[in-house]
Amino acid sequence: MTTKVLIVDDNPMDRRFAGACVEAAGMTATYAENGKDALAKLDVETPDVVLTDLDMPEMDGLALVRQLQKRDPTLPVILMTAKGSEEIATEALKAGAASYVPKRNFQQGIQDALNIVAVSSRARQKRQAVFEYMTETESKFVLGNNHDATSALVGYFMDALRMMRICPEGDLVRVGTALSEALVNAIDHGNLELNSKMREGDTGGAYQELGSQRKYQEPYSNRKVYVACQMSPDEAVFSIRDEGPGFDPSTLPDPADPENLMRPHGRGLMLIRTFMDKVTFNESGNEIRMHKLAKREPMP
Amino acid sequence: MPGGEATARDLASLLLVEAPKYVEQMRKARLDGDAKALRRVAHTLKGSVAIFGIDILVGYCQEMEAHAAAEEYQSVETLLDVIADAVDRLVAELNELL
Repeated sequence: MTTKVLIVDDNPMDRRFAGACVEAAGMTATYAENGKDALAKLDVETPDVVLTDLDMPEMDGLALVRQLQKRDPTLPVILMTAKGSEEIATEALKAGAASYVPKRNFQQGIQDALNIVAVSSRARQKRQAVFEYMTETESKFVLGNNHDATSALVGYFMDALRMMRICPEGDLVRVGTALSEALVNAIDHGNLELNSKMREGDTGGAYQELGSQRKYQEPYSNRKVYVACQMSPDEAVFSIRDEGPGFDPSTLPDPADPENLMRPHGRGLMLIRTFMDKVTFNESGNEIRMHKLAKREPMP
Repeated sequence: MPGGEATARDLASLLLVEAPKYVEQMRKARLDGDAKALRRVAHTLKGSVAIFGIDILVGYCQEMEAHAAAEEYQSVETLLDVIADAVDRLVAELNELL
């Protein structure tokens, strides 16, 4: 079934452009002109993802995110951000948005964000009752450099987080997004040594092409991604290690500074740090450790 | 361009209608002394012309945003005329193309 995306933007050209990008990604687009209009459209039909501008009359993107958190916290919202909207975007991510895409690099960024969020969202729907009986778990996985394998693993973790009641429903897609971003970072920037600067303005797919080549070239092709997860009633701890050269973690942008939201590089890390409770790296920078503390909601 | 020529034509048709509206909205905001609205409309026009890579107009809009934010109305007046001329030329070209 095709993923349905509701696009919310007061600018008709931005709306049409976003719609064309969504359709080019094989998804279906519907449209609303502002937050208020979006809520009216949601009364009629529920999309799989909401993609919203922030600066709009009537009801802006932040107010829409807050309303959606009350109405349906499981519906993922992706923000379309422009220069000048950094602070409000940071607020919206804290308020419940699942991801963001800078408008200046929209065509490239939107496909990735939609794929990651839609995968997390679909995975959430495939639950297995076995987790209901689990109290503590420790698991380890070794992955190759294939993005497809990551979505199955993220789906597994999301099921476990939900069934062990570590994460409320509204947080699941966000944690799934953080895990997907961390796995993609380990494969692309760690093992395959692809530089995210290559993506800026890359409409010809040079980044993807180099990635496809390196999957079969030594030394990249021999490298693996090692994933470990420990879940207890109090928290979930994920560690993801790649076999790339690593980096100096002290050079990372300050996640508390909204200015860094607009940097073309480090977008995934910004999301990871927003959605997880604690994030650390090993000294050589090839292993990330993410903690999600239990935040329970009452049993239905 | 995602969606190829069909999307490009749709966007060009929208720009033809929307760009002159933005110029009018900027003039009104200037008359009302509403610097916030002026900056916002300049920002919207900038986004619209950026889709087609019309760098000169993108630059004018950027300047307008900066002058509106600083409430430098003398520069705003000059830029309004410059942007209006550029939009007129753009509309004429789009009319020929479509």
